Amino acid sequence: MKKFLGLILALTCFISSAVFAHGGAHGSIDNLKAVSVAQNAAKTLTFRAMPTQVNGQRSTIEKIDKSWAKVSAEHFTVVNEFEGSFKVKAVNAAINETLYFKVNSEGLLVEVLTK
Amino acid sequence: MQTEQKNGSLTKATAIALLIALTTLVLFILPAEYNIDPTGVGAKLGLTVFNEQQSNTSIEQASDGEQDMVVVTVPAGKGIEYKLAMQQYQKANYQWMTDGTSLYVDLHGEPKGDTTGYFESYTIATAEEMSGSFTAPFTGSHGWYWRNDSDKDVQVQVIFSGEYTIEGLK
Repeated sequence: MKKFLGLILALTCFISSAVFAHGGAHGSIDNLKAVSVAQNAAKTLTFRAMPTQVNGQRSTIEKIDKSWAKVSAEHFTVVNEFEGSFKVKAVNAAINETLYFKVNSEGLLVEVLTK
Repeated sequence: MQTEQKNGSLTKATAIALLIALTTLVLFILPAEYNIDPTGVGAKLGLTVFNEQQSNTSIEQASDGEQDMVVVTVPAGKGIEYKLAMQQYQKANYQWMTDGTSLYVDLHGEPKGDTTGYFESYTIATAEEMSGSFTAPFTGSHGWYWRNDSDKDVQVQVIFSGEYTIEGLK
């Protein structure tokens, strides 16, 4: 009887751990997703500024040149990854401008830098 | 003698009718339909407002080869449509956002060749941004109707990709 109860308890823990693991899987993105977020953000930023939060502080990412809407995905590359966050480098040859898009582990744009 | 009088009256009546028609054309029809207002009377009567509202519906388009982007203007108090031609079961991904003002939106489809005015709504909401995807249930014209109930023109940026041919503003 004790062995049977022990087996039931072990199985319950095993099943529960699978549920928790699934809960942790949401919010993780890969390189491809980071590039997609950055490219989309570039298009959006040609239209309007975006509110964001950096280190708990609210800020605004300003609009960028309209030519960024035509920059294809091949010009966006992940140059750095740290703790699930990505730094995506994007080159706009039309206006000779390079921007760096910081995307967090949840796929949200955090910051746009010039270097 | 009587015939000559009749002819004279007929000619006079025809001339008067032509004069009235010409006056109506210049003062009312040309300003309202074609935005041609040589006398200025059309503007004073508010007839040229129809053409001014049409010209407020501006559009900018761009493409990076994988995604298309368009910025349209929804005039104050008016509605516009932007559509894609899609075959049955083709899919489109989209996101749109305004410059801050909420708009009434109806994402819908109209069957190709339909003359009854039938359409099917996929999403109806009032929002300032939205994203998602849809699969065309039938071949036809699919896209967005935005209505601006505010008193200022509102710009909408739409980014979309998938399987379609752009029809544009309708």
